[in-house]
Amino acid sequence: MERTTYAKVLSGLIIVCMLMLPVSAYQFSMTNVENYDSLTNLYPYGTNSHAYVYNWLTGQGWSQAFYETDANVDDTDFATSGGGLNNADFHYHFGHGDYISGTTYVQYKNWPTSYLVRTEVNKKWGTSLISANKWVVLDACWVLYDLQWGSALRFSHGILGFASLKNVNANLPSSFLQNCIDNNYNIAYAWQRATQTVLAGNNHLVRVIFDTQDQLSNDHLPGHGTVAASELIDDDTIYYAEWRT
Amino acid sequence: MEDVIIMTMKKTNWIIAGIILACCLAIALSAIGMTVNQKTSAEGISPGPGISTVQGQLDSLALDATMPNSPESVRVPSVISVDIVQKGDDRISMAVANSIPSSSDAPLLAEKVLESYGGLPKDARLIDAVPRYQYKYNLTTNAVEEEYPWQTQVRYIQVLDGRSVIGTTINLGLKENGELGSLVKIWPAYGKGKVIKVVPAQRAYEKFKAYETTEKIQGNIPGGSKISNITLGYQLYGTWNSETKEPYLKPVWIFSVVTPADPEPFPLMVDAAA
Repeated sequence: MERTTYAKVLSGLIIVCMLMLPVSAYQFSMTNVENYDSLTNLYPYGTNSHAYVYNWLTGQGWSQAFYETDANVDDTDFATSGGGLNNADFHYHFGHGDYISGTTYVQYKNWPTSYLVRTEVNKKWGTSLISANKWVVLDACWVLYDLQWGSALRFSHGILGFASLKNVNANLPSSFLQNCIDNNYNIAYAWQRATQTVLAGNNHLVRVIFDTQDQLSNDHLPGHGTVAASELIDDDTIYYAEWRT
Repeated sequence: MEDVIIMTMKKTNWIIAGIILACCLAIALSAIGMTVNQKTSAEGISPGPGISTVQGQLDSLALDATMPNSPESVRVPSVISVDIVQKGDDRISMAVANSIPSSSDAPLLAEKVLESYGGLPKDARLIDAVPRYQYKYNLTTNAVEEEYPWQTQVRYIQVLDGRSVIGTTINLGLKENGELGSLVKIWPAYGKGKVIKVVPAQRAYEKFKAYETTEKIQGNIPGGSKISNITLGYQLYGTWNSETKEPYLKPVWIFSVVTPADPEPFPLMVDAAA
């Protein structure tokens, strides 16, 4: 092959790579517990929430790292042993959450036999600068009532959730992702607007926890605005904001 | 010898090109959703249920409210339209402010802002005006280290015939000098409708204890919680719910639940239609 021809082919391939990478490099994951052994079943709201998350993000070229449901959801999905949600830029969890004597729980299908508490994920989210995970949504009652969930953030940026009871509504993830994608809103504001709209008048206490204030104010979904830098040296502080619906 | 070198270079070039092509194919496959780890795909949305049960300790909740007198019937107007407004600039809204309005100043400033959006409706009732901050929190000491003025949240709810309409809102975030940070307004207009019979509060309380509430909640009501108030009201359906065809109202008994963790009442509703 002539050197010039080879150069043209190589350039073409590089351009293809450059076009493909930005839309294909991002991954999301989801855990959905909607059928419980001893708690009220939430079906089909978790399934519907997943459909919205899946459709919005694959529509942007994202791929699904994993989707676990009901009895298949366990600690490993939340990166207690590495992997899990660390393999995805964005993780959405749907299910029950509880508050008992100052401790908050992500409740699994066979609650109270198994559950997730924040000590199990201490500094486990975003274990290195090259870990994919940046954001985790905990769509459940109570969990972020305990600000110590912020200790899960190593290099991950933020957690979105609730610090009170909350009503189930599958339109929440749809509204949130629409705000992120169609309106290019930053993530915290997208969550604020989505919760205040979809859960209007229900007096939920909504909370976001970020590792830095820059992330709280400026993080966007990739391709829809800036993403603030990760915190290189962990100072063991977090930034949070809250509002009512 | 030179020919051999040229041949080797050509082979190497093709190998490099092949590797890049393989990478492109792998990326393309990943982009269209053919990842190895993917277990499930989702396409359709199945319809949600209507009135449903709620997990919790509702039957053991302390009743710290008087049972209200129950009218035999209530007017349920039709919903003609819903004024939905969503305004705000995320950069302004999420930015820290030099100062934010006080709780006492904020309602008047909110009314001024609302002049650009049809004014404050006559059927609006102020819920509260609360200065909100962004907090720097130390995980080691469990203490707030710094607080940064963010926005003052002002909330209204619609009142129809003296009764709250759950699902309606005017929710503002006011920045320095009352500048608008964010606004969500969901405000129905009503037609004539009809008069329907309602179940007495005591009967609604029995339904409440049996977890027959209009909404599911994603968690338990903590021990030590109590019902602080019971009132007749309305619930708006269908404004933000793609599973419903048209917006409509339902009469509901509103049970305000106060938990040890959250000082503000959480409304749980029971269908009041007889």
